[in-house]
Amino acid sequence: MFIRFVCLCGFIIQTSGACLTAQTVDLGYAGNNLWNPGISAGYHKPFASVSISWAAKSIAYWDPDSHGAVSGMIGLRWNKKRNDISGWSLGLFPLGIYRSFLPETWEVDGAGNLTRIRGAGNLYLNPSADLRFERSVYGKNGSWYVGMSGSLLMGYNTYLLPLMFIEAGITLPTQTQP
Amino acid sequence: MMKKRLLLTFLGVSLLAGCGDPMSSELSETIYVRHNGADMPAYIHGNRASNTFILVLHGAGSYGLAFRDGIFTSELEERYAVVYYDQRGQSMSQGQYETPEDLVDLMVEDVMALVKVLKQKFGSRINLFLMGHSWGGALSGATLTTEDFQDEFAGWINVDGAHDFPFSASSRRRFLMSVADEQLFWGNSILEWEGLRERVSDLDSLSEDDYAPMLREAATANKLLAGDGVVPGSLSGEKVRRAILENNPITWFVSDLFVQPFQEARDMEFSITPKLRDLTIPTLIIFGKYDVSVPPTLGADAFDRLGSQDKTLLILENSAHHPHDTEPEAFGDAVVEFIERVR
Repeated sequence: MFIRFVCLCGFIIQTSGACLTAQTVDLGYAGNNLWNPGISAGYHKPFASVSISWAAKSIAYWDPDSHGAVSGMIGLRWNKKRNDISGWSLGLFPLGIYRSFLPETWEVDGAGNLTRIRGAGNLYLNPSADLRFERSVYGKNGSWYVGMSGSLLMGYNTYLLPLMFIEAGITLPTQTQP
Repeated sequence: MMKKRLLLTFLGVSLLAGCGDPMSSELSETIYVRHNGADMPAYIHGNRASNTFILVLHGAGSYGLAFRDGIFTSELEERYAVVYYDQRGQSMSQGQYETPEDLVDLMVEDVMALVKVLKQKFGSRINLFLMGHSWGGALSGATLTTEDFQDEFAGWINVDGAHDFPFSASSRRRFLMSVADEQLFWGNSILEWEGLRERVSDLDSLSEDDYAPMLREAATANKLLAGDGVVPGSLSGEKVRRAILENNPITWFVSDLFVQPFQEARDMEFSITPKLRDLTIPTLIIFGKYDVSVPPTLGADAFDRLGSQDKTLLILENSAHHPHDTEPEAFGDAVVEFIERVR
Protein backbone atom coordinates (compact mmCIF):
# COMPACT_ATOMS: atom_id res chain seq x y z
CA MET A 1 0.00 0.00 0.00
CA PHE A 2 1.30 3.35 -0.97
CA ILE A 3 1.29 5.61 2.08
CA ARG A 4 1.41 9.27 1.26
CA PHE A 5 2.70 10.62 4.50
CA VAL A 6 5.08 13.58 4.61
CA CYS A 7 6.45 14.45 8.03
CA LEU A 8 7.90 17.92 8.33
CA CYS A 9 8.52 17.82 12.07
CA GLY A 10 11.91 19.31 12.77
CA PHE A 11 14.05 19.19 15.86
CA ILE A 12 12.44 19.27 19.35
CA ILE A 13 13.87 21.60 22.02
CA GLN A 14 13.59 21.10 25.75
CA THR A 15 11.26 23.44 27.58
CA SER A 16 9.68 23.78 31.00
CA GLY A 17 6.27 24.61 29.67
CA ALA A 18 7.05 28.16 28.60
CA CYS A 19 5.66 27.09 25.24
CA LEU A 20 2.20 27.41 26.70
CA THR A 21 2.64 30.99 27.87
CA ALA A 22 5.07 32.71 25.50
CA GLN A 23 4.72 34.31 22.10
CA THR A 24 5.29 31.32 19.84
CA VAL A 25 5.45 30.01 16.33
CA ASP A 26 4.63 26.47 15.34
CA LEU A 27 5.34 24.31 12.35
CA GLY A 28 4.27 20.79 11.57
CA TYR A 29 2.53 18.19 9.46
CA ALA A 30 -1.14 18.70 8.64
CA GLY A 31 -2.66 15.69 6.92
CA ASN A 32 -6.03 16.10 5.27
CA ASN A 33 -7.88 12.93 6.28
CA LEU A 34 -4.46 11.92 7.69
CA TRP A 35 -2.90 10.80 4.42
CA ASN A 36 -3.15 13.77 2.04
CA PRO A 37 0.10 15.46 3.02
CA GLY A 38 0.41 19.08 4.07
CA ILE A 39 2.10 21.52 6.38
CA SER A 40 0.74 23.80 9.07
CA ALA A 41 2.35 26.98 10.37
CA GLY A 42 1.08 29.24 13.13
CA TYR A 43 1.83 32.26 15.29
CA HIS A 44 0.47 33.05 18.77
CA LYS A 45 0.72 36.27 20.80
CA PRO A 46 -0.72 36.29 24.33
CA PHE A 47 -2.98 39.11 25.40
CA ALA A 48 -4.97 39.97 28.49
CA SER A 49 -3.89 36.78 30.21
CA VAL A 50 -1.17 34.30 29.40
CA SER A 51 -3.71 31.60 28.68
CA ILE A 52 -5.32 33.40 25.76
CA SER A 53 -3.48 34.28 22.58
CA TRP A 54 -4.17 35.92 19.30
CA ALA A 55 -3.54 33.20 16.77
CA ALA A 56 -2.84 33.07 13.08
CA LYS A 57 -2.50 29.83 11.17
CA SER A 58 -1.96 28.60 7.65
CA ILE A 59 -2.32 25.13 6.17
CA ALA A 60 -1.18 23.98 2.74
CA TYR A 61 -2.00 20.46 1.58
CA TRP A 62 -2.05 18.29 -1.47
CA ASP A 63 -4.52 15.61 -2.51
CA PRO A 64 -2.32 13.76 -5.02
CA ASP A 65 -5.21 12.50 -7.14
CA SER A 66 -7.09 15.74 -7.52
CA HIS A 67 -5.94 19.11 -6.20
CA GLY A 68 -3.94 21.19 -3.75
CA ALA A 69 -5.03 24.02 -1.47
CA VAL A 70 -3.83 26.75 0.87
CA SER A 71 -5.81 28.27 3.71
CA GLY A 72 -5.12 31.13 6.11
CA MET A 73 -7.05 31.94 9.28
CA ILE A 74 -6.97 34.17 12.35
CA GLY A 75 -8.61 33.80 15.72
CA LEU A 76 -7.89 32.98 19.33
CA ARG A 77 -6.16 30.17 21.16
CA TRP A 78 -6.91 29.11 24.72
CA ASN A 79 -4.22 27.25 26.63
CA LYS A 80 -4.81 25.10 29.67
CA LYS A 81 -1.90 23.58 31.56
CA ARG A 82 -2.15 20.06 32.91
CA ASN A 83 1.12 20.38 34.74
CA ASP A 84 4.44 22.19 34.33
CA ILE A 85 5.32 20.54 31.04
CA SER A 86 2.10 19.71 29.20
CA GLY A 87 -1.35 21.00 28.45
CA TRP A 88 -4.17 21.43 26.00
CA SER A 89 -4.96 24.24 23.65
CA LEU A 90 -8.13 25.06 21.79
CA GLY A 91 -7.91 27.24 18.70
CA LEU A 92 -10.95 28.99 17.25
CA PHE A 93 -10.50 30.69 13.89
CA PRO A 94 -13.74 32.32 12.70
CA LEU A 95 -11.98 34.27 9.97
CA GLY A 96 -10.46 32.00 7.38
CA ILE A 97 -10.03 31.80 3.66
CA TYR A 98 -9.24 28.77 1.49
CA ARG A 99 -8.00 28.60 -2.07
CA SER A 100 -7.82 25.39 -4.07
CA PHE A 101 -5.39 24.81 -6.92
CA LEU A 102 -6.47 22.50 -9.70
CA PRO A 103 -4.34 20.73 -12.29
CA GLU A 104 -4.96 21.19 -16.01
CA THR A 105 -8.34 22.92 -16.29
CA TRP A 106 -10.40 23.78 -19.34
CA GLU A 107 -13.37 26.10 -19.26
CA VAL A 108 -16.28 25.62 -21.63
CA ASP A 109 -18.57 28.62 -21.86
CA GLY A 110 -22.21 28.78 -22.87
CA ALA A 111 -21.31 29.15 -26.52
CA GLY A 112 -19.12 26.06 -26.41
CA ASN A 113 -15.81 27.94 -26.56
CA LEU A 114 -12.83 26.32 -24.83
CA THR A 115 -10.24 28.17 -22.79
CA ARG A 116 -7.34 26.69 -20.88
CA ILE A 117 -7.35 28.21 -17.37
CA ARG A 118 -3.95 28.70 -15.71
CA GLY A 119 -3.90 28.56 -11.92
CA ALA A 120 -7.51 27.40 -11.76
CA GLY A 121 -9.06 27.01 -8.36
CA ASN A 122 -11.83 28.15 -6.06
CA LEU A 123 -11.95 30.55 -3.12
CA TYR A 124 -14.06 29.73 -0.06
CA LEU A 125 -14.66 31.13 3.40
CA ASN A 126 -13.01 28.69 5.80
CA PRO A 127 -13.76 29.05 9.53
CA SER A 128 -12.05 26.39 11.58
CA ALA A 129 -11.17 25.06 15.02
CA ASP A 130 -8.47 22.84 16.41
CA LEU A 131 -7.65 20.98 19.58
CA ARG A 132 -4.03 20.24 20.49
CA PHE A 133 -2.08 18.49 23.15
CA GLU A 134 1.33 20.05 23.81
CA ARG A 135 4.27 18.74 25.77
CA SER A 136 7.68 20.17 26.39
CA VAL A 137 10.59 17.81 26.11
CA TYR A 138 13.97 19.26 27.02
CA GLY A 139 13.62 22.65 28.65
CA LYS A 140 12.29 26.19 28.12
CA ASN A 141 12.66 26.49 24.39
CA GLY A 142 9.94 24.52 22.72
CA SER A 143 7.56 21.63 22.69
CA TRP A 144 5.82 19.20 20.39
CA TYR A 145 2.12 19.06 19.72
CA VAL A 146 -0.45 16.70 18.26
CA GLY A 147 -4.03 17.50 17.47
CA MET A 148 -6.95 17.59 15.13
CA SER A 149 -8.62 20.40 13.29
CA GLY A 150 -11.91 20.74 11.51
CA SER A 151 -13.12 23.45 9.20
CA LEU A 152 -15.92 24.30 6.83
CA LEU A 153 -15.70 25.40 3.22
CA MET A 154 -18.60 27.78 2.74
CA GLY A 155 -20.18 28.09 -0.65
CA TYR A 156 -18.66 24.77 -1.80
CA ASN A 157 -20.76 23.80 -4.81
CA THR A 158 -24.23 24.51 -3.39
CA TYR A 159 -23.48 23.49 0.20
CA LEU A 160 -20.89 23.48 3.01
CA LEU A 161 -18.05 20.99 3.00
CA PRO A 162 -16.28 19.88 6.19
CA LEU A 163 -12.53 19.27 6.15
CA MET A 164 -10.56 17.34 8.73
CA PHE A 165 -6.83 17.45 9.45
CA ILE A 166 -4.50 15.56 11.71
CA GLU A 167 -1.69 17.85 12.93
CA ALA A 168 1.64 17.23 14.60
CA GLY A 169 4.61 19.52 14.95
CA ILE A 170 6.76 21.72 17.10
CA THR A 171 6.15 24.98 18.93
CA LEU A 172 8.99 27.42 19.47
CA PRO A 173 8.87 30.58 21.58
CA THR A 174 9.88 33.79 19.82
CA GLN A 175 9.88 35.70 23.10
CA THR A 176 10.80 34.15 26.44
CA GLN A 177 8.65 34.80 29.44
CA PRO A 178 10.30 37.16 31.96
CA MET B 1 37.42 1.63 -40.15
CA MET B 2 34.73 1.91 -42.78
CA LYS B 3 33.33 -1.47 -41.81
CA LYS B 4 33.15 -0.38 -38.15
CA ARG B 5 31.25 2.78 -39.10
CA LEU B 6 28.81 0.80 -41.22
CA LEU B 7 28.26 -1.67 -38.40
CA LEU B 8 27.63 1.07 -35.86
CA THR B 9 25.24 2.81 -38.24
CA PHE B 10 23.39 -0.44 -38.85
CA LEU B 11 23.08 -1.07 -35.11
CA GLY B 12 21.85 2.47 -34.51
CA VAL B 13 19.18 2.23 -37.19
CA SER B 14 18.10 -1.17 -35.85
CA LEU B 15 17.70 0.25 -32.37
CA LEU B 16 15.68 3.17 -33.63
CA ALA B 17 13.46 0.91 -35.70
CA GLY B 18 12.83 -1.22 -32.64
CA CYS B 19 11.61 1.73 -30.61
CA GLY B 20 7.91 1.73 -29.86
CA ASP B 21 5.33 3.80 -31.66
CA PRO B 22 5.59 7.32 -30.15
CA MET B 23 1.78 7.34 -29.88
CA SER B 24 1.67 4.23 -27.66
CA SER B 25 2.05 6.15 -24.40
CA GLU B 26 0.20 5.20 -21.27
CA LEU B 27 -2.19 7.86 -20.06
CA SER B 28 -2.44 8.71 -16.37
CA GLU B 29 -3.64 12.22 -15.81
CA THR B 30 -6.29 14.29 -14.10
CA ILE B 31 -7.93 17.20 -15.83
CA TYR B 32 -10.75 19.46 -14.71
CA VAL B 33 -13.60 20.75 -16.82
CA ARG B 34 -15.08 24.06 -15.73
CA HIS B 35 -18.65 24.56 -16.87
CA ASN B 36 -21.34 26.80 -15.45
CA GLY B 37 -19.70 27.29 -12.05
CA ALA B 38 -18.61 23.67 -11.49
CA ASP B 39 -15.09 22.26 -11.72
CA MET B 40 -15.42 18.55 -12.46
CA PRO B 41 -12.45 16.17 -12.52
CA ALA B 42 -11.87 13.57 -15.19
CA TYR B 43 -9.26 10.92 -14.43
CA ILE B 44 -7.88 9.53 -17.68
CA HIS B 45 -6.02 6.23 -17.67
CA GLY B 46 -5.07 3.70 -20.30
CA ASN B 47 -3.92 3.21 -23.82
CA ARG B 48 -3.63 6.46 -25.76
CA ALA B 49 -2.41 4.72 -28.89
CA SER B 50 -5.75 2.95 -29.34
CA ASN B 51 -7.35 6.32 -30.19
CA THR B 52 -10.43 4.91 -28.46
CA PHE B 53 -11.84 6.44 -25.28
CA ILE B 54 -14.53 5.11 -22.97
CA LEU B 55 -16.20 7.90 -21.00
CA VAL B 56 -17.74 6.39 -17.86
CA LEU B 57 -20.72 8.05 -16.15
CA HIS B 58 -21.12 6.78 -12.59
CA GLY B 59 -24.33 5.94 -10.77
CA ALA B 60 -26.21 7.71 -8.01
CA GLY B 61 -24.11 8.34 -4.92
CA SER B 62 -21.03 6.95 -6.62
CA TYR B 63 -17.91 8.53 -8.10
CA GLY B 64 -15.78 8.17 -11.20
CA LEU B 65 -12.87 6.22 -9.75
CA ALA B 66 -15.24 3.64 -8.22
CA PHE B 67 -14.96 1.84 -11.56
CA ARG B 68 -11.18 1.86 -11.68
CA ASP B 69 -10.48 -1.70 -10.63
CA GLY B 70 -11.14 -5.24 -11.79
CA ILE B 71 -11.90 -5.58 -15.47
CA PHE B 72 -11.40 -1.86 -16.08
CA THR B 73 -7.75 -1.91 -15.07
CA SER B 74 -6.92 -5.46 -16.11
CA GLU B 75 -8.40 -5.30 -19.59
CA LEU B 76 -10.16 -2.14 -20.68
CA GLU B 77 -7.28 0.22 -19.80
CA GLU B 78 -4.85 -2.12 -21.55
CA ARG B 79 -6.81 -1.79 -24.77
CA TYR B 80 -8.34 1.69 -24.58
CA ALA B 81 -8.22 4.93 -22.66
CA VAL B 82 -10.86 5.15 -19.93
CA VAL B 83 -12.15 8.49 -18.64
CA TYR B 84 -13.50 8.30 -15.08
CA TYR B 85 -15.54 11.42 -14.46
CA ASP B 86 -17.01 12.93 -11.28
CA GLN B 87 -20.33 14.52 -12.17
CA ARG B 88 -21.40 17.98 -10.97
CA GLY B 89 -21.64 18.20 -7.18
CA GLN B 90 -20.42 14.62 -6.76
CA SER B 91 -17.28 13.39 -5.01
CA MET B 92 -14.30 15.64 -5.88
CA SER B 93 -16.19 18.10 -8.08
CA GLN B 94 -15.99 21.59 -6.65
CA GLY B 95 -17.03 25.11 -7.58
CA GLN B 96 -19.63 27.66 -6.64
CA TYR B 97 -23.03 27.98 -8.22
CA GLU B 98 -26.70 28.36 -7.40
CA THR B 99 -28.89 25.28 -7.25
CA PRO B 100 -29.85 24.82 -10.90
CA GLU B 101 -33.48 24.74 -11.97
CA ASP B 102 -32.98 21.77 -14.25
CA LEU B 103 -30.10 19.75 -12.90
CA VAL B 104 -30.41 16.90 -15.39
CA ASP B 105 -30.25 19.19 -18.44
CA LEU B 106 -27.25 20.96 -16.94
CA MET B 107 -25.50 17.64 -16.32
CA VAL B 108 -26.06 16.72 -19.97
CA GLU B 109 -24.33 19.96 -20.92
CA ASP B 110 -21.51 19.11 -18.51
CA VAL B 111 -20.96 15.79 -20.30
CA MET B 112 -20.79 17.54 -23.66
CA ALA B 113 -18.36 20.09 -22.22
CA LEU B 114 -16.10 17.21 -21.20
CA VAL B 115 -16.43 15.73 -24.70
CA LYS B 116 -15.29 19.03 -26.18
CA VAL B 117 -12.26 19.07 -23.91
CA LEU B 118 -11.35 15.46 -24.72
CA LYS B 119 -11.53 16.15 -28.43
CA GLN B 120 -9.48 19.31 -28.03
CA LYS B 121 -6.81 17.43 -26.09
CA PHE B 122 -6.68 14.16 -27.94
CA GLY B 123 -7.97 15.07 -31.38
CA SER B 124 -11.38 15.38 -32.95
CA ARG B 125 -11.10 11.96 -34.60
CA ILE B 126 -10.92 9.87 -31.42
CA ASN B 127 -13.43 7.03 -31.13
CA LEU B 128 -15.50 8.01 -28.12
CA PHE B 129 -17.82 5.52 -26.42
CA LEU B 130 -20.24 6.66 -23.73
CA MET B 131 -20.73 4.15 -20.90
CA GLY B 132 -23.25 4.83 -18.14
CA HIS B 133 -24.10 2.72 -15.11
CA SER B 134 -27.44 2.99 -13.28
CA TRP B 135 -28.14 6.75 -12.93
CA GLY B 136 -25.19 7.20 -15.30
CA GLY B 137 -27.10 5.05 -17.79
CA ALA B 138 -30.01 7.47 -17.52
CA LEU B 139 -27.68 10.47 -17.89
CA SER B 140 -25.90 8.91 -20.87
CA GLY B 141 -29.25 8.17 -22.53
CA ALA B 142 -30.40 11.73 -21.87
CA THR B 143 -27.17 13.03 -23.41
CA LEU B 144 -27.47 10.91 -26.54
CA THR B 145 -31.12 11.83 -27.10
CA THR B 146 -30.50 15.57 -26.79
CA GLU B 147 -30.14 17.52 -30.04
CA ASP B 148 -27.50 15.88 -32.21
CA PHE B 149 -25.14 15.01 -29.36
CA GLN B 150 -25.09 11.32 -30.35
CA ASP B 151 -23.05 12.33 -33.43
CA GLU B 152 -20.06 12.89 -31.12
CA PHE B 153 -20.01 9.24 -30.05
CA ALA B 154 -19.15 5.98 -31.75
CA GLY B 155 -21.39 3.95 -29.48
CA TRP B 156 -23.39 3.70 -26.25
CA ILE B 157 -22.82 1.12 -23.52
CA ASN B 158 -25.77 1.12 -21.13
CA VAL B 159 -25.08 -0.83 -17.93
CA ASP B 160 -28.19 -1.34 -15.80
CA GLY B 161 -29.34 2.13 -16.77
CA ALA B 162 -32.80 3.50 -15.96
CA HIS B 163 -34.12 5.25 -19.06
CA ASP B 164 -37.61 5.55 -17.56
CA PHE B 165 -37.94 6.16 -13.83
CA PRO B 166 -41.71 5.62 -13.48
CA PHE B 167 -41.44 2.38 -15.46
CA SER B 168 -38.51 1.28 -13.30
CA ALA B 169 -40.48 1.91 -10.10
CA SER B 170 -43.58 0.14 -11.42
CA SER B 171 -41.51 -2.86 -12.60
CA ARG B 172 -39.74 -3.33 -9.31
CA ARG B 173 -42.63 -4.91 -7.41
CA ARG B 174 -43.42 -7.45 -10.13
CA PHE B 175 -39.74 -8.27 -10.52
CA LEU B 176 -39.14 -8.73 -6.80
CA MET B 177 -42.06 -11.15 -6.63
CA SER B 178 -40.72 -13.15 -9.57
CA VAL B 179 -37.23 -13.34 -8.03
CA ALA B 180 -38.80 -14.47 -4.74
CA ASP B 181 -40.82 -17.15 -6.57
CA GLU B 182 -37.69 -18.38 -8.33
CA GLN B 183 -35.64 -18.56 -5.12
CA LEU B 184 -38.47 -20.35 -3.30
CA PHE B 185 -38.62 -22.88 -6.16
CA TRP B 186 -34.90 -23.55 -5.67
CA GLY B 187 -35.38 -23.84 -1.90
CA ASN B 188 -33.11 -20.89 -0.99
CA SER B 189 -33.72 -19.09 2.33
CA ILE B 190 -37.36 -20.14 2.25
CA LEU B 191 -38.56 -18.28 5.33
CA GLU B 192 -36.84 -15.06 4.32
CA TRP B 193 -38.08 -15.09 0.74
CA GLU B 194 -41.60 -15.94 1.85
CA GLY B 195 -41.56 -12.99 4.22
CA LEU B 196 -40.18 -10.71 1.54
CA ARG B 197 -42.78 -11.85 -0.96
CA GLU B 198 -45.58 -11.19 1.49
CA ARG B 199 -44.30 -7.73 2.36
CA VAL B 200 -43.78 -6.77 -1.29
CA SER B 201 -47.25 -7.99 -2.25
CA ASP B 202 -48.71 -5.42 0.16
CA LEU B 203 -46.79 -2.54 -1.41
CA ASP B 204 -48.10 -0.36 -4.21
CA SER B 205 -45.38 0.20 -6.78
CA LEU B 206 -46.99 3.46 -7.93
CA SER B 207 -47.37 4.91 -4.43
CA GLU B 208 -44.94 7.56 -3.26
CA ASP B 209 -45.33 6.32 0.32
CA ASP B 210 -44.28 2.80 -0.67
CA TYR B 211 -41.21 3.85 -2.68
CA ALA B 212 -38.75 3.76 0.22
CA PRO B 213 -40.14 0.48 1.67
CA MET B 214 -39.86 -1.06 -1.80
CA LEU B 215 -36.20 -0.05 -2.00
CA ARG B 216 -35.62 -1.57 1.44
CA GLU B 217 -37.08 -4.85 0.25
CA ALA B 218 -34.83 -4.64 -2.83
CA ALA B 219 -31.84 -4.25 -0.51
CA THR B 220 -33.03 -7.29 1.48
CA ALA B 221 -33.34 -9.27 -1.74
CA ASN B 222 -29.75 -8.32 -2.66
CA LYS B 223 -28.50 -9.59 0.70
CA LEU B 224 -30.39 -12.87 0.35
CA LEU B 225 -29.10 -13.42 -3.19
CA ALA B 226 -25.52 -12.77 -2.06
CA GLY B 227 -25.95 -14.92 1.04
CA ASP B 228 -27.20 -17.87 -1.00
CA GLY B 229 -24.38 -17.48 -3.53
CA VAL B 230 -26.75 -16.73 -6.39
CA VAL B 231 -24.89 -13.46 -7.01
CA PRO B 232 -21.28 -12.98 -5.82
CA GLY B 233 -20.44 -10.04 -3.57
CA SER B 234 -19.35 -6.95 -5.49
CA LEU B 235 -17.33 -5.15 -2.82
CA SER B 236 -13.63 -5.99 -3.21
CA GLY B 237 -10.77 -4.95 -0.96
CA GLU B 238 -9.36 -2.89 -3.81
CA LYS B 239 -12.65 -1.04 -4.14
CA VAL B 240 -12.73 -0.23 -0.40
CA ARG B 241 -9.08 0.88 -0.50
CA ARG B 242 -9.78 3.18 -3.43
CA ALA B 243 -12.91 4.62 -1.78
CA ILE B 244 -10.97 5.57 1.33
CA LEU B 245 -7.47 6.41 0.14
CA GLU B 246 -7.78 7.71 -3.41
CA ASN B 247 -11.21 9.20 -3.16
CA ASN B 248 -11.95 11.61 -0.31
CA PRO B 249 -14.61 9.76 1.70
CA ILE B 250 -15.80 12.84 3.62
CA THR B 251 -16.20 14.89 0.46
CA TRP B 252 -17.91 11.99 -1.25
CA PHE B 253 -20.36 11.40 1.61
CA VAL B 254 -21.25 15.05 2.07
CA SER B 255 -21.65 15.75 -1.63
CA ASP B 256 -24.03 12.82 -1.93
CA LEU B 257 -26.13 14.26 0.90
CA PHE B 258 -26.64 17.57 -0.82
CA VAL B 259 -26.62 16.78 -4.54
CA GLN B 260 -28.89 13.97 -5.64
CA PRO B 261 -29.59 14.09 -9.36
CA PHE B 262 -31.25 10.70 -9.06
CA GLN B 263 -33.82 12.20 -6.67
CA GLU B 264 -34.33 15.13 -8.98
CA ALA B 265 -34.90 12.76 -11.89
CA ARG B 266 -37.44 10.85 -9.81
CA ASP B 267 -39.27 14.06 -8.91
CA MET B 268 -39.51 15.08 -12.56
CA GLU B 269 -40.48 11.51 -13.59
CA PHE B 270 -37.49 11.28 -15.88
CA SER B 271 -38.10 9.34 -19.07
CA ILE B 272 -36.43 9.28 -22.46
CA THR B 273 -38.68 6.47 -23.71
CA PRO B 274 -40.24 8.51 -26.56
CA LYS B 275 -36.81 9.60 -27.75
CA LEU B 276 -35.15 6.20 -27.92
CA ARG B 277 -36.29 5.61 -31.48
CA ASP B 278 -34.17 8.62 -32.50
CA LEU B 279 -31.06 7.10 -30.93
CA THR B 280 -29.35 5.40 -33.85
CA ILE B 281 -25.72 4.88 -32.83
CA PRO B 282 -24.55 1.32 -32.08
CA THR B 283 -25.61 0.29 -28.60
CA LEU B 284 -24.69 -2.42 -26.13
CA ILE B 285 -27.06 -2.91 -23.20
CA ILE B 286 -25.80 -5.02 -20.28
CA PHE B 287 -28.02 -5.92 -17.33
CA GLY B 288 -27.69 -8.27 -14.40
CA LYS B 289 -30.44 -10.89 -14.30
CA TYR B 290 -31.07 -10.22 -10.61
CA ASP B 291 -30.91 -6.43 -10.70
CA VAL B 292 -33.70 -5.50 -8.29
CA SER B 293 -32.70 -1.81 -8.37
CA VAL B 294 -33.22 -1.36 -12.11
CA PRO B 295 -35.01 -4.50 -13.30
CA PRO B 296 -33.83 -6.09 -16.55
CA THR B 297 -37.26 -5.34 -18.01
CA LEU B 298 -35.85 -1.83 -18.47
CA GLY B 299 -33.01 -3.24 -20.55
CA ALA B 300 -35.41 -5.20 -22.72
CA ASP B 301 -37.65 -2.16 -23.14
CA ALA B 302 -34.74 0.05 -24.17
CA PHE B 303 -33.55 -2.60 -26.61
CA ASP B 304 -36.97 -2.85 -28.27
CA ARG B 305 -37.39 0.91 -28.60
CA LEU B 306 -33.91 1.88 -29.78
CA GLY B 307 -33.64 3.15 -33.34
CA SER B 308 -30.15 1.63 -33.69
CA GLN B 309 -29.62 -1.00 -36.35
CA ASP B 310 -26.65 -2.34 -34.40
CA LYS B 311 -27.88 -3.10 -30.91
CA THR B 312 -27.18 -5.90 -28.44
CA LEU B 313 -28.87 -6.86 -25.18
CA LEU B 314 -26.82 -9.00 -22.80
CA ILE B 315 -28.30 -10.33 -19.56
CA LEU B 316 -25.64 -11.71 -17.22
CA GLU B 317 -27.06 -14.67 -15.33
CA ASN B 318 -25.11 -14.36 -12.09
CA SER B 319 -25.26 -10.63 -11.58
CA ALA B 320 -27.42 -8.01 -9.93
CA HIS B 321 -26.81 -4.27 -10.23
CA HIS B 322 -23.03 -4.36 -10.75
CA PRO B 323 -22.30 -6.88 -13.52
CA HIS B 324 -18.87 -5.31 -14.14
CA ASP B 325 -17.91 -6.43 -10.63
CA THR B 326 -19.77 -9.74 -10.36
CA GLU B 327 -19.07 -11.15 -13.86
CA PRO B 328 -16.06 -9.12 -14.97
CA GLU B 329 -14.82 -11.47 -17.69
CA ALA B 330 -18.18 -11.72 -19.44
CA PHE B 331 -18.66 -7.98 -19.04
CA GLY B 332 -15.21 -7.20 -20.41
CA ASP B 333 -15.56 -9.61 -23.33
CA ALA B 334 -18.87 -8.04 -24.34
CA VAL B 335 -17.52 -4.50 -24.16
CA VAL B 336 -14.37 -5.36 -26.12
CA GLU B 337 -16.27 -7.28 -28.78
CA PHE B 338 -18.68 -4.34 -29.17
CA ILE B 339 -15.96 -1.70 -29.41
CA GLU B 340 -13.82 -3.73 -31.80
CA ARG B 341 -16.82 -4.30 -34.06
CA VAL B 342 -17.93 -0.71 -34.08
CA ARG B 343 -14.81 1.45 -34.08
